[in-house]
Amino acid sequence: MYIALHNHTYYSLLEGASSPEAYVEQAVRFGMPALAITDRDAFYGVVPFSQAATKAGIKPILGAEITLAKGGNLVLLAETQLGYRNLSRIITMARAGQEKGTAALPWQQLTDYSAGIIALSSGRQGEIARALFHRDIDKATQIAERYAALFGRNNFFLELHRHHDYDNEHVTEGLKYLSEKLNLRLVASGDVHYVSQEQANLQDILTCIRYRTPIEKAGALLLPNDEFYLRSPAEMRDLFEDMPDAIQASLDIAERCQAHVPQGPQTFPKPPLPPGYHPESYLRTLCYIGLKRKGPFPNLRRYEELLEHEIKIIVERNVTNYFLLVWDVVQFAHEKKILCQGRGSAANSLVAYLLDITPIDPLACGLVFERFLSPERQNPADIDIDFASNRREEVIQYMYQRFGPDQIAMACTFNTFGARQALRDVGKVFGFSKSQLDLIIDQLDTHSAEGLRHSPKLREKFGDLLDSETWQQLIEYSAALDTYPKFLGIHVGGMVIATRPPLVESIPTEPASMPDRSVTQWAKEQLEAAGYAKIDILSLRTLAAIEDALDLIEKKLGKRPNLRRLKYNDRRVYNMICRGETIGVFNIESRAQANLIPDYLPRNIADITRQIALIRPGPIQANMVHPYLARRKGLAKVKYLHPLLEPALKETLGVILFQEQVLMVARDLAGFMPGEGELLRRALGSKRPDAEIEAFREKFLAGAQAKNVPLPIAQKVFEQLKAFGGYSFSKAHAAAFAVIAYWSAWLRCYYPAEFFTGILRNQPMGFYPAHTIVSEAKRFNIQVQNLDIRTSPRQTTFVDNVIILGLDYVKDLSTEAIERLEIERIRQPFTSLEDLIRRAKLSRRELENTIMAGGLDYMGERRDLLWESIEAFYLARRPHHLPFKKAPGQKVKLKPMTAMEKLRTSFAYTGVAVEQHITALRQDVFSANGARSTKDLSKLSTGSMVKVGGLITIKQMPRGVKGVCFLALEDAHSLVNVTVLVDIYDKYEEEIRAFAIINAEVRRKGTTVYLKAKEIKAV
Amino acid sequence: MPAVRSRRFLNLLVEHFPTRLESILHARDISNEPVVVLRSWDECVLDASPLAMAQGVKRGDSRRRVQQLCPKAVLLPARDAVYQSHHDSLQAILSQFAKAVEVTALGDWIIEVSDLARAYPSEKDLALFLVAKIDQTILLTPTIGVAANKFTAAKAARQALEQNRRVMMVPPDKERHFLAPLPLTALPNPPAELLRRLAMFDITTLGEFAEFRHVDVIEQFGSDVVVLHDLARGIDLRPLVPFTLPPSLVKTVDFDHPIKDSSILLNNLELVAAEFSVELTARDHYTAALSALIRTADGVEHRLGTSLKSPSADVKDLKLAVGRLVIDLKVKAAVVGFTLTAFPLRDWTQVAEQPSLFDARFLDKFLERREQAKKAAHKVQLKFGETMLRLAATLDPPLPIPIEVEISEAGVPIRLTWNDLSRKVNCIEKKWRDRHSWWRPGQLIRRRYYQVEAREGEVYVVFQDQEGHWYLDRRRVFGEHVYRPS
Repeated sequence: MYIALHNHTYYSLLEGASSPEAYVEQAVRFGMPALAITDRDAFYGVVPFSQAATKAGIKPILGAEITLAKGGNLVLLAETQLGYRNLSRIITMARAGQEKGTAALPWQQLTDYSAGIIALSSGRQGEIARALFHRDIDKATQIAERYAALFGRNNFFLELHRHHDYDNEHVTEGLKYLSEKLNLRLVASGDVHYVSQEQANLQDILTCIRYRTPIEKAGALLLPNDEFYLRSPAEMRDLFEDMPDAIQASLDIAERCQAHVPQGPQTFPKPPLPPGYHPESYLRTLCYIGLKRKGPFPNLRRYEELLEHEIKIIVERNVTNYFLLVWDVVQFAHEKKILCQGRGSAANSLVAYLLDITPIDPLACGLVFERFLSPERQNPADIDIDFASNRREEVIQYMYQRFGPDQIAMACTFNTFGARQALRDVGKVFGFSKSQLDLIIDQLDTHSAEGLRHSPKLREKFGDLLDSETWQQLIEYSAALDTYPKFLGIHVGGMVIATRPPLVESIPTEPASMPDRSVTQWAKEQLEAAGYAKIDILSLRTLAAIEDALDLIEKKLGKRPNLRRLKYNDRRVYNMICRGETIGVFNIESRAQANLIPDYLPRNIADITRQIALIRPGPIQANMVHPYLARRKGLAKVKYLHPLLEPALKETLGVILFQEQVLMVARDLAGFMPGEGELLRRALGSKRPDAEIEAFREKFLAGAQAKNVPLPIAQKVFEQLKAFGGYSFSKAHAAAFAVIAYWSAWLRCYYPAEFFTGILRNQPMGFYPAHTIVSEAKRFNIQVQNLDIRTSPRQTTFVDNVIILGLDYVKDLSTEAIERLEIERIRQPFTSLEDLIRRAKLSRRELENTIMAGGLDYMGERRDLLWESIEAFYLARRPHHLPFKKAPGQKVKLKPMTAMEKLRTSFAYTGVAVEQHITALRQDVFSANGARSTKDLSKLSTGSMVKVGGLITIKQMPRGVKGVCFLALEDAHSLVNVTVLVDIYDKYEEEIRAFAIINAEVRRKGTTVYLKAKEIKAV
Repeated sequence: MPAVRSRRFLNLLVEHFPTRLESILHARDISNEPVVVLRSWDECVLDASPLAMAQGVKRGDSRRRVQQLCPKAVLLPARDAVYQSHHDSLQAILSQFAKAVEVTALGDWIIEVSDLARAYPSEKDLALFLVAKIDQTILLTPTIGVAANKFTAAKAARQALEQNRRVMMVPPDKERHFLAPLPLTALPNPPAELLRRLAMFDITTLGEFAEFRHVDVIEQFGSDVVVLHDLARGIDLRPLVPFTLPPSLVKTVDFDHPIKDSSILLNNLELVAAEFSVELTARDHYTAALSALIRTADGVEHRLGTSLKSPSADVKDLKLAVGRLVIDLKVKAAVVGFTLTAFPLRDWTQVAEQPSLFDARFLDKFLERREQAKKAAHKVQLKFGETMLRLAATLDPPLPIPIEVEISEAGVPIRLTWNDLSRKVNCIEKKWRDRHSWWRPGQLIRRRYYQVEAREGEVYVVFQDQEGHWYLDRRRVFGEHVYRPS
């Protein structure tokens, strides 16, 4: 027998070509009782590896190959739990202060944390092997002695490889010599980079991607041959026939390694408690205070019962401190007036509501706590909170300061290749040009590996070319890389905190690309699998826009509206929404939503909650949108497949709209416990294997039968649940979003100028580009002022009833330059280009962009200024006291910009068009083609054909609507919805670009006019 | 004061020279066929037929890219010697008309015809005469541009090609007018920054660019752009740079008596090599290759060649090289004489030695160095024009020689045989496996290498390929125990 102790999985990020699960499968095939993974400076893969190994009944050995600061690598295996903690720290220290993706461990730090670790000398990259390769036996001896002294003679092994690479035997002989001389044991190993020899090509490709080099030029960067695979014990025995003890050593080491992945929930920091309180009593007290503050409640007893039920589960699940921690963060935000709001499944919790974490009363909204936390489902608690995007960093830094870098880090994400990116990367490796790859990817109608292999569009475009060996290689290897991790990213907001032991002793951390941030080496899924709880500190630009709007209102009126006191029943607000005036309104501004509104006509916050949940792939795929609308309008009767479904689906007129309803249906129709219902929902939502879903189906049908539900009905209901799947909102989530939607709608209704200013300040956000927001503001007779460096503020603002575009709209104008501009113009107005350059220290590109954006129009013609800017730079650089006498000469005559050119350049350099609508650039073409303006549409009767010219600002193809495309066509007068059916879309897909003339049929829903496209022509 | 007569230049262009030549040599019409000629040393595109180019194939593209872009392309290996000889023959025709001929590229020449036109009724007659003459010689119809300077003449020749004419004359003082409608990209290697800024001023043609005053151009775009501005104005003061091959060193030795002892042959070759070394050093030149023509008593001439890994003038390197020639010599008859030729390179080629720049031993610096090299090359091209920098042709390693190998029961070599000489293997010093080129369709290379010591103490590297054939690898550096696998 033999145990492979040095294996790189694909979590070595481009240094391994197989998944941990594939290693485990192969080890099982070989009958290995244990297996190690030793990814490069990382524990990225230990969770999936441990899970797979434990499931397969083999012992997982946890380790890593560490890069040393002075050069060379060392393989470290965790022998004991102390060793695991030390190794986790070692990885963290090796990564600290290094560039992303690199590591370098100083020797001193290794000496401090060597206990409980077994070290192997590593292969070709090991210090000893390197010295032997250079024929420096003395140096090799010194190094080996140093390691033996550090780890102990029993814990340091000389690692032998036989990859049949050049000079391998020389190194082997050297190691044998050292073994005898220093009385150190040899261990046979593999330095494995892929499970089977067939994956050697994939490894070569990954290497090329890592070094960004085409394979033709990779040369010695590639591994020398295909011998770096996981060998069977029999093969290893033959290979090391002359050294049986080296094979035996692998077994001895495996026997000794007992460390395992620490399981959560982690220990959360204890909050500062008032005297006489412990966490549970403190949480209970805070909740009862909240209950009193938020009351009175008509049925207080129910609230109290639910509260006690929730606290019981919270205590059982050992997450009391977690709740107090989140409460602390939210308190901080409230104190600092940072707009924030909990969302997601946490809104199912009454405790979260009472602690001001979420705005939703779960009892009033009929929400189920088990959707968030249940005794059956051992998922960790996970609370998502949205913060105003411009101030989220304050919250994150508060947490880092409060807990220290050893105890807190953000969750990482593993950015996988994805079929398209893989195609691009592999294409580059094979020498395809960028334009070729653009062409191929342009044709790609899929995001999956399977789709890539069988893409009809690729076949149609490239024909027999696809069958050539080169193309086959391109497609096969790209598909193979689809799910492989490529690089480490940072989770949008997930923070993990642990105190005893500190986080870095359970999960290594490493610096993030952003300064002052660190990330864990486990991603969200791995944290969840190991039972670690996190808090999601998310960023929402809408909240920032709302906050900015509130600031402007306060500045103007001296009073800040309190949005939390709104009653959500303002008729003017709902009337505005029903008129379809929703641009900028959170979550109900999309084209698909705009299309829905004339049929839906929301009148209260519950309606908005349902409206948000309705336009999701789940309800669309399950064909629930139209039945729901028909029933809502009274055109169809509300019916239930079985009377038992009525309590669950009454609120949504017999159709399933919310995730919670899956739980309720399963409970009422099939007797599922709430926790079981959640497991069913997750299984349906995450496309689990058919066998797993089948098991649920059987249980569901059996449960339904026990309740005397006829089998065909039960089957039909289960199919509906399956179609509904996971692409849907929980009611709690939709309700939380509905609150923000209402806030934004209310601001748009009563303070449109401030509202649009807030949105313009926080671009990019929402569905619409800045120029559409500007046009929308102008449609409401709000004046917008173009850039002018004399008056434009840093950010867009609203003063004296005019929106003034901010300097941050000038393309590539740095924050520092804007700051200098603001300061210097206060000192003294800019008198010339030279003066501007000298004092604001603008770079050439910044000055050019400011000129082209129109910011210096007051100084003269744009092209003249551009021309003069060169001389201005020379002048600005000369010492102040030297006079400059310009030689007399003829002034260059440049073509002055026409109004249209100015419009075009302003748009190109700011992204907005203030003077005129951007469609003015194509007005001549529209007129020549007989295209009409959107203004004329109201005069046309339903069913009449019209040609309209404008700018396509939005193209939306919601998943599940079978290829129907929603466009927003905009001109100076308005923005009109255009529905493009599949056949038309297929025919004119290439024509759907910026400016277009659309030949369409006029349709109406109430007072709203929309178009059904028949023909599209790009202009 | 006598009027100053303007100078006149003639650009003779045989577009797609290699491809068209191949079509003649293969007697096939390439007008409807995508034909691509690949350079012999790196299999990149030397030239492609118009149809292949229409499908996106560009000069310098790799073979793989050509196969991706144009799977039906007929790929032909370049026959450098053939092209060169035809190129030379056309050049010889031009040389009859002008003593200085500038070679811009293969099939592209410029000559000065200021005085020549007097011998013909008109410049056009001269041009047409040249066209006819070349047409007769190798059936390749050229196009000709005649103008007052090289740049305008070159543009005129291309214009003639585009307009399907044989000759395009640009009358004196009409250069600026002729160039005016051409786009800015017609300039040789216009800097991207220049194009960007001119676009901001809505300047798109050479004519509009030419409108600027010289002083303004210098102030706005820097002095580097002055040459381009001059060209746009129809002013090209660049002189004709006649092309001359660096002279080869050739020496012939005839023996008084036929010799059978190869050591005598070697001694004589080494003497000549030493003479070459002195000569090369005096000229500050290096040689990249040596060739020998060995004449034997049976009247047969044996051609041998060897390349120097790094161009050199060092006597030791040259002696080693002639040593390799003698080792490769497979003759049984007595030698009656030889001619040794060295192909010198200009001194600057030594600086462009690429292997040291990308040495795999410096992997950590690899990417950085490559980027630096790219930037440097780009700067050189910007400064001196694209044609001033050409890719140095790294010499391919010598091909392995098929040999016979006797193997032991364990499958390792025990005896090597080639050139009718047998070497018994004393011991296997090293063995390793190599696998590469799997990405080239049908070209996977999988080898088992052995570094062996023969009975006489020489060390050889041999390998067995995936089909079981044995070869002697000749990349090993003589005299050193250092070998870097590819």
